[in-house]
Amino acid sequence: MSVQMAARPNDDPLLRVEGLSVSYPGGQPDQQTIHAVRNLSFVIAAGETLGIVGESGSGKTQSALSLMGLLPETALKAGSAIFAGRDLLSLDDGKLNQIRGSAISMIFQDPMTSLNPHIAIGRQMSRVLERHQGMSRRTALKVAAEMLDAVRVPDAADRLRQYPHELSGGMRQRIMIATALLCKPQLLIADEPTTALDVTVQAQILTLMHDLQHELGTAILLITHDMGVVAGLCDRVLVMRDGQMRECGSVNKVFYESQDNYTRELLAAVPRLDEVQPRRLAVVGDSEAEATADIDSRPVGDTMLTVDKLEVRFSAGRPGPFRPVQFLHAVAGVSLELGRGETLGIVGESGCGKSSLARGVLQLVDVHAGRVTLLGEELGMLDKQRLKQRRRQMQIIFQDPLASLDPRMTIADIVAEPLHTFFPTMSRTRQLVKVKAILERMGLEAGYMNRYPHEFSGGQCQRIGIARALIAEPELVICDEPVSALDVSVQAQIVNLLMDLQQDMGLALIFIAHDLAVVRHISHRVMVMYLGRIAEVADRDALYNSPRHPYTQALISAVPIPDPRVERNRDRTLLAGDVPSPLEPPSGCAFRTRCPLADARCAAETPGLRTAGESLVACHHA
Amino acid sequence: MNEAVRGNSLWADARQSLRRNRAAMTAMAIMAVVCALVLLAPLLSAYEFDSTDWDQISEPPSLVTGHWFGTDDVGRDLFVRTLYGGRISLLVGLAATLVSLVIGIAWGATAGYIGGRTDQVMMRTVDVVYAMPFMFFVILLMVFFGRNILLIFVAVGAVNWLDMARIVRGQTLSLKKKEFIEAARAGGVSNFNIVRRHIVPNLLGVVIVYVTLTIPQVILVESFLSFLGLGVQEPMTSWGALVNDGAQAMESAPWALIFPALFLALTLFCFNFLGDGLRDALDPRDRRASG
Repeated sequence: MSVQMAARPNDDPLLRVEGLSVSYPGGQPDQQTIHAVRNLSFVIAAGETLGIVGESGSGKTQSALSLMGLLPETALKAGSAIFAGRDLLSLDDGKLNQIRGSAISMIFQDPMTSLNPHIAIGRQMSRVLERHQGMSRRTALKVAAEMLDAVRVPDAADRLRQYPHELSGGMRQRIMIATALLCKPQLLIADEPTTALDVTVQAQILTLMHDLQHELGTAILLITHDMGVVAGLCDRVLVMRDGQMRECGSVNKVFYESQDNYTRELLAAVPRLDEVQPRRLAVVGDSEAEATADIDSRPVGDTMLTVDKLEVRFSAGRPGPFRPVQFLHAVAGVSLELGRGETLGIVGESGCGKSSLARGVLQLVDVHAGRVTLLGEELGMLDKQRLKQRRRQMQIIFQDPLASLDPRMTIADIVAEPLHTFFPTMSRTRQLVKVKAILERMGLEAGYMNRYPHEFSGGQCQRIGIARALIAEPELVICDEPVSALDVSVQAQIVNLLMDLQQDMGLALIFIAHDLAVVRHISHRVMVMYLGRIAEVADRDALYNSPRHPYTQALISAVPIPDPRVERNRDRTLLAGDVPSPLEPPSGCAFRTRCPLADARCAAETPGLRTAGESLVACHHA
Repeated sequence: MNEAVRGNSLWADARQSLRRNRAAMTAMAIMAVVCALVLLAPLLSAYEFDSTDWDQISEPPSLVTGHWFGTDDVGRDLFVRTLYGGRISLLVGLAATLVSLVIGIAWGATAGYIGGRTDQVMMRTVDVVYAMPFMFFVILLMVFFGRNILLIFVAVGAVNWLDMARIVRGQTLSLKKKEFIEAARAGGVSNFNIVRRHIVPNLLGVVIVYVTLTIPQVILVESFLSFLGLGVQEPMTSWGALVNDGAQAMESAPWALIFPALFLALTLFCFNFLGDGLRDALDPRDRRASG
C-alpha cells in the first residue's frame, strides 16, 4: 500500500489539521454564508484517541466529514489536513478512495442506516478487502470472519450470511466497527458511535473500542456530545462551539483545570450519576445558577394515580390461515402508585415497555388487562365523553420536540388546542391571553405566537410542547424521554423548568428516560423495567446507592461518568448480549439470559416483587 | 389588546406568502384575463358561435373582416368559438376536479385515519369502481340519461376521485403515526377534529400538486370524449374539440389549431405555476425560502 509506505519521521503526528474552515455560501443574495467550521487546527498522534466534543451545530461532524471528503458539493473548504504526507482536503475522489476505507475509515452514528439492507453482511465486508487489498472473495470472507471474532460477535461465520435487519443495533454497530477495521487503518473516525445505542450496549462497544485500540494501535478521532464517553476513552479532548475550538488539551487538564468558561459550564450542566447535585442544574451562559434546597424535601401528597397489574399487548404481524395471531406483551402486569407532587422516574433499555406503559396509563393504546385509577375514577370504565374530560388532567410530553408539533399550525394554535377542546366556549381573545401567559412562563417571547414550529430550536420546541401540556392545568404529566433529543445545556434548562413547574403547580410527574443520571436528578422514586415487567422500585437514593436487582446494578455501572479519574477506575459489570425479543420472552425471570446470578430456579419460577432492604425487587437472589 | 396577542391563521399567512410569489401571481393574472374573456365572449365580437359566414370560409385571421382568429371550414368565427369552448373546458376542468377533490379527500382521509376493517371496505369499494372500464361507464350514463354536458362532469369526477382517495389514504397512513397526531389524541381532540385540523392541512401539499395535474388531464379527457362523439355536441364546442378539428386542417388552415391550442397551453401553464405557488404558500417550512 503506497499510502502506508510513505516515509514519515517518527515525531510527526499521524494527522495534522491546520486552519480548517468549512462554509456554506447562501444560495440567494439575501442568505448569509454559514460558517460551519472556522480555522480549526489539531493533531492526532499515532495510536492516540482524540475526542471532539460539542453540542449540535458546533461543527464537530462537519470537520470529520471534510477529512473524508464527504461534504456536500456546495461546501467551501479551506486549510489543510496532512495525512501521511498528503493533504486530504485537496485530493480528488480517486486518490481519496485509496485512503478512505483503508488507511482512514469511519463509523457513523446510526448502525441501522449505514449498512446496506439489501446486501449480506459478509459481502459488505469482503468488498472492502477486495477493493483495497486485492483479495479473492474467499480469502476476504475468511478475514471478515476473523475480524467479526475480534469484535466479539458470536457465531461469526453464520453472521456473514445474514442481512442487517436480522441483527440488533449493538450487533450492527460491531459489524460497522469490524468493517472499518478490516484494512487495519491508522486512523478511525467515529462519529457518535454509541449515541443510538442503549447504555448497556454502549458500555460493551466502548470497552471493545478501547481493547481494539490497544491490540491494533489505531488512532481514534471520537466525535461525541457525551462527556462521560470522553472521560472513559480519550487521551486528549478538543471542545468546539459554533465552529470554533474553545479548548484542546489532555483529558485531565480539560476536566479538572479547564481555562475556558464554556467548557466549565458544559461540564457543570451534565447531571452526574454518582453524586447528588444542587436542585438546579447549572445552565450554560448563566453564571449565577443558584443552588437551592435538594429535592429531598419531598412534598408528596396523597395518592392520585394507581395502576394495578396493567397489561398492554400488540398483535405482531398479520394472522395467516395457518398462523395464529402472535402477541407482543409490551407491558406484562405493572402496578404503581403516584402521589400529588411526586416524580416517578422510569428507566430501562429500549424495548422494555416504558413508552407502552405511559400510553397504557393515558389510555392511548388499548389496555389488555389491569386497572388505571386517576383521582378515584377508573379510566377503563369511562365512556368516551367522560374520558375526554379526564384527559384534561393527564397530559404527555414527547421525545421528539419538533415531530410533536403540527408543522402547519402556528405556535398560538398549537398551544391553544387543549383550551379549544376542553373549554369550547372560551373566546379566542381569552385563549390567546392565556397562551401568551404560559409561553412567557416557559421563557418564550409572546412575539413567537404567530410563527411555525420549524422556526424554533429543539429546546424551544420542547418548551412549546410543555406549554401545550400544561395550559389546561393537568394534575398528571407523563414525560416520555423529554430531554433525550436535546443538547446537554438545553437539557439542563428543560429539567430545571420541569422541576420548577412541578413545585408551582403541584404536578405529579412520570419521567421516562434512558439516561439514568437525569432520572436520578429529577425523581423522588425510580422504577427499573425489563421486558415489560418491574425489576426494581425504590426511593431514588436507595436505588442508586444500593441497587438490589442485578439488572439495576448493571445499568448503573454501564453509565459513563464525566470524570476521568472516577470513570477509569470503575469496576464494570458488563452485561452480555442484547435485550431478548419481547415476542419470545425467556421463561421464568426474563432477565436470566443476561444475568450473572442466574440458576435453575430463575428459569423455572417468575420472581414476584418483594421487599429487600429499601427496595421492592423482582429477583430470587436479591 | 396589544399586537402580539393576535393569532394568524394558516390561510392568512398563505395568502400573504402567495402574494410574494411572482410566478404564481402572474399566472393568476393571466387566468383572470382568460376567464374574463371567456365570460364576456358574446359582447366582444359581432359574430355568433354557431352562425356561418358564407363569404368567409376557412379564412385566415384578419382585422378587416372582424374574424380575429380566422374562420373554420364552415365559416364560423374562431375567436368566438375559442372563447365559448373555453367556458366548457374550464367548467369541466374545475368542476370535475372539485368533485374529485372533495370526495377523494373525505374518503381517503377517513379510510386512512380509521383504518382496520373500515379501511378495507372503503378501499375495496374504490378498487371495484376502478375496475369498471371508463368508456363503458360513460356510455352507460349516456344511455340512461341522454346526452348532457353535466354527465361529463359526473363521469370524469367519478373516475378521478379514486386516484385522489388512494393518494390521500397513503399520506394519511404515514401522518397518522406522527407524534403530533398522538399529542392531539392525548389532548382529547375528537377524531373528526383531528382529521379536519391536523390531517387535512398536512395533506394539502400533495393534494394541490395532484390537482394541478388533474385539471389538464380532465380537459384532455373531455376532448377525447368529444372526439368520440360522447362529449360536447356541435355546434357547441370545447378547447379539446377545437384542437382536434384544427389538427385535421393543420396544413390548410393552421390558425384553426394555433389559437385554441395557445389558450389551452396557456391555461395549463397557469394552473401548474399556481399549483406550485399554492403548495409552497401552504407549507410554512418553505415560506422563508420562497419569500
